[in-house]
Amino acid sequence: MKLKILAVLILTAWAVTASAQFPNNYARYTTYSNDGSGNLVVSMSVTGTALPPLPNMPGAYHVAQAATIWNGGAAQWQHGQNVCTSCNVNFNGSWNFSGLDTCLTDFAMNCDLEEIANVKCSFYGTFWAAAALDGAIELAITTTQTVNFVPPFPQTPYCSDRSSPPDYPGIPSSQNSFTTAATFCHRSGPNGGQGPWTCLPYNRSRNRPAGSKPDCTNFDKHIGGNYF
Amino acid sequence: MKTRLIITALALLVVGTTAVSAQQHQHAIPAGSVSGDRIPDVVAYRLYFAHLSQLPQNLQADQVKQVRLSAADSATLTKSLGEFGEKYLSLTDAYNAEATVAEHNGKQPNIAAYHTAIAKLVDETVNSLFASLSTTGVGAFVEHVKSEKVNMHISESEAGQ
Repeated sequence: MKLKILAVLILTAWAVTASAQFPNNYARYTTYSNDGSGNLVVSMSVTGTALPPLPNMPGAYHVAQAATIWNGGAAQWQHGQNVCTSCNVNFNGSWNFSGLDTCLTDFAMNCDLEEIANVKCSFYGTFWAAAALDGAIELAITTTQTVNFVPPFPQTPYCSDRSSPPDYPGIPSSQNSFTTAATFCHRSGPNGGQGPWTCLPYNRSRNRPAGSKPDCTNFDKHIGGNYF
Repeated sequence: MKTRLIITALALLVVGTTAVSAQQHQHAIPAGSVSGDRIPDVVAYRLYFAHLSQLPQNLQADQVKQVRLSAADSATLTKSLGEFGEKYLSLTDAYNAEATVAEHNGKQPNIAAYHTAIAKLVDETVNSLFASLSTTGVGAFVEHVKSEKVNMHISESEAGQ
C-alpha cells in the first residue's frame, strides 16, 4: 500500500512538472450578431488541442469554458463537453442581450462587456486562458441621407458624436429623405475599448421627410428624445 | 517510520512543485493573448470557418451579411460554411474518439495527422471559395476576415508559425 502511494506521488510530481511544457493551439474567437429580433448576441468559440505528457492520468479530462460579464455584474459561465486530455475541446456558446436591456434602451450610455475564455484540466485546473477581452457596447443613433438622388448616400452620425461610431451602411434609405436608425455598436480593447467601432443594425428605424432631423438635445443626458 | 518520512518528503515536494507549476500556469496565461495582425491568415480562416459553421442559422446568416457580399456570393459562402462544418465535425469526432482510446491504452494519439487534416480542409475550402466568389466578393471576404482578427486570440506558439 505504502509503495503504491509512493508511486502515485512520484508520478504526480513528475506530471505536474511536465505540465507546463506541453504545447497547445487553443484559440478563442468572438462574434457579435443581431438575431433578427433586435437582440445582440455574443458568440464565443474555444477550439484546439494540447498534447499532454505520457503516461496519461486515468480519468483526467479537459473542458473549455467561457463567460461574459455585463457592466461588472456576475460572470455568466457556459461550459463545453468534458473530453480527453489530448482531444479537441471545440466549445461554442452564445449570450443573448435583449434589446430591452436597460443599458441598450438608455441611449448614449456605453455598457461594458468583458469576455473570458479558458481551458481547464480536471487534474491541474485552469492551464490556458485567452486574454480578457474588454469592450464597450453602445446603441448609436445614426442617419442615412440621400444627396441629389445620386448614390452612394453618405451617412452621418447625429446623436452619437461623443463616440462617433461609424454608421451601418446596410440601413435602407429612400431617396430625398433621411432614414434614422439605431445601431448596436461594439469595440474592443483596454479601458472599455479603444479599437474601431463595428455596428450592426438594430430593429428601430424610420424614414424621415427631407429636412426633418432627429432631436438629439437630450441624447447626452440619458433621457428619451424624438430620435426616430 | 523511514517510509513515512519519505512519503512526507515527497508530499512536500509535490505541494511545492504544484505551487511552482501553478505560477507557471499563471505566467502561461498570456499564451492565448496573441491577437490582431500577428494571427496568420491561415489560422484566421480556420477560426472563421470553424466558428461560423457551428453558429445557429440566424446568427450565421447575420455574420454572412456582415461581409457585405452580393446575394449570389452570400449563398456561395453559406454553402462553403455548411460543407466545411460537416467535414470539420466529422474529422474532430473521429480524432477525439481515437484520442480517447489511445489515452485509455496509455498512448498518445496522432495529433499531427489531425492538424494536417484540418489544415488541408481549410486550404481546400479557401481555394474553392475563392474560385466560386466574384472578384469583388473575394476582396470583401479577405478584408472581412482580416478585420475579424481583433476578435481572435491564439497561442504564442501558433502565432510563431
